[in-house]
Amino acid sequence: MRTLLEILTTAPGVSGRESGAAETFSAVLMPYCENIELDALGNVIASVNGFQEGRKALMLEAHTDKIGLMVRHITKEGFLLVCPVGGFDTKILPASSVRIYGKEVLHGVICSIPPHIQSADKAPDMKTLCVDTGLSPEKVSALIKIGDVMEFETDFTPLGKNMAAASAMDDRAGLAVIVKTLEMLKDIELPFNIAVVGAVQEEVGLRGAGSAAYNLKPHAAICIDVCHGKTPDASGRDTFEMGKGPVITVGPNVQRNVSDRLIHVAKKTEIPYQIDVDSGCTGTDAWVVQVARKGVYTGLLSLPLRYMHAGYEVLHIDDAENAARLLAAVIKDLGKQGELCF
Amino acid sequence: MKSMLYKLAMTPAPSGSEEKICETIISMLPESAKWEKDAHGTLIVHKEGEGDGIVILTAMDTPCLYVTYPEGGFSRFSAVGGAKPSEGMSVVCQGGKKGVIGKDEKGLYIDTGHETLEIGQWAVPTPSLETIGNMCFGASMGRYSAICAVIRALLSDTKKDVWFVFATKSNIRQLSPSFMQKIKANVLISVDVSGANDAPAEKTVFAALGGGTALRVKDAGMISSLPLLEGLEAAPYKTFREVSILRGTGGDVQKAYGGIESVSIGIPTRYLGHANEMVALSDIENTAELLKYYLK
Repeated sequence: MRTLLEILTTAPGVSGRESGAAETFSAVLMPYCENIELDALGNVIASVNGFQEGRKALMLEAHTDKIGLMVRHITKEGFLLVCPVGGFDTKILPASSVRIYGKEVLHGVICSIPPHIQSADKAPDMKTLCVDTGLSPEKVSALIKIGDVMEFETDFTPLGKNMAAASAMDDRAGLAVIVKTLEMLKDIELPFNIAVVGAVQEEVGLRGAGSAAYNLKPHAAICIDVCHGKTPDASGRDTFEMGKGPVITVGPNVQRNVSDRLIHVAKKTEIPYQIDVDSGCTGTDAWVVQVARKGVYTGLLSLPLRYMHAGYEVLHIDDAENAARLLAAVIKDLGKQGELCF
Repeated sequence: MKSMLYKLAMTPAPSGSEEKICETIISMLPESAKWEKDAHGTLIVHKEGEGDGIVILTAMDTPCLYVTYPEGGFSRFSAVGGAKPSEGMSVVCQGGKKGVIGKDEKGLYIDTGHETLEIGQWAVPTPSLETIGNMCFGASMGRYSAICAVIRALLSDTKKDVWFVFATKSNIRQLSPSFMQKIKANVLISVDVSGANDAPAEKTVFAALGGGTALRVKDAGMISSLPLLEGLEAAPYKTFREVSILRGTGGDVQKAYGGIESVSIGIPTRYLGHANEMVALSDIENTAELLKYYLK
């Protein structure tokens, strides 16, 4: 799992420009899937056992995109005025290093004002946030265009015994869970189809997964995403223990019989889990998948994550391992009952 | 082009009541044109041709006001879709009554003199079109310019299979993509307005009048396909890249049903939503030519 996470989290793929992540995800799916392709929006679509006629499909979904910045304007001095792609806390941005995808991959630092000369202690305004490449204005103009994207320049960093920090754990960890699940299901015959989706543009409004679900017509779907992990300074509400298992969502954005099945199997197999009661939109692709076509039986499994949408997001690898174990166990359990039904 | 733009600009097109502008657009189509209207009032014109289908989409509705509380000749209203009414602005109301925006301590109202408006009636800034050299201005001129550019492309010769779609209710974010159910296409070009900010005091100009057609890499509702955008960028017409904070027209269509590869383009427009919007005639012409080039 650690290697898989490293491979996936270091792939480029700011929302709308996910081709790097799609390529990497496709490559790691290769041993377990057939018919791996991209749809019109760039969603990775794959099938585990073929799209066999007359059989219902279970869709496993996580998103390939990550948050980033986009060049909005190049100043005459060669600084890049940027805007967010996805949700950012501007307080964490100043002085961060970024990798810029221009004509070639470039490096930059988000401009910051030293405390000595700051006029007020306030969060920087995204409208004036700039990136410094250290290059001459001529060189910048030659290598970078308006609309080029950039992302945090961070490494995959193991922490402690079984934790790791990287950018884009949200939601490359979800992709890793899918791959690991398929590995656990290898050579197991199932009476229903399994479709895999690596969806685009989740971070900019859940824009990819609905189209994928429309095309695939799944009977049921389990989306895998992240939720907030506990930290000493965070409110206890809406945060979950790290290393205590994946989080099963209960609420109107998922079908009760899907979440019940996840809970039932977790108990039966003694896989640790936590429950998130979400009273409305979960803010995940489950929102658009649930209402695709005539409706999809939808479940949501989340991994507690610290520092979501920061340069380093911290994940407990045990939670990802247990999420994969739980998914594989649920799929085997569903397989035993014959036709996929909830 | 000016006469076409004038005819469009003189037709009120409030969100939710697009019948008149739809009639005006239909009157500009050749007699042989195959068109239909769907349940949402969306006008779909199909030019049958070869190859994979292309959708050219624009909205035909404009920001407007809806009367919420009429009281004699004074009517409170709700501003719809980015409308920026201001004291002293003249308006034309549903049924042809005219009025002026007034202001008191409770806010803005429409003053129609002795005439009374009814709850639910719409009003739009008084239609007009003035030209000053290459520039023209009038109410909702950005939107009318986009419609004009699309009609110009529609009237040109093409061998490709093209669906020209004039959608409704875009200003209230209720543009229905349901027309895509009956369309077989794999490319969408959304033609929109771009907020020009080339005022004298502006240090960072994102879009300027006369700068050509904005190729919108991203707006608040869509991220354009890079190959499509680069294809338009390579055309021999004046274009510039824009990352816009405005919500464009095509976002909901891009992701509807199975999804479609999409690009958003815009005509730079000053003073969006105000009594008068200003555009450059050369930008309208340029956008029409860019579309024609793509469809050739």
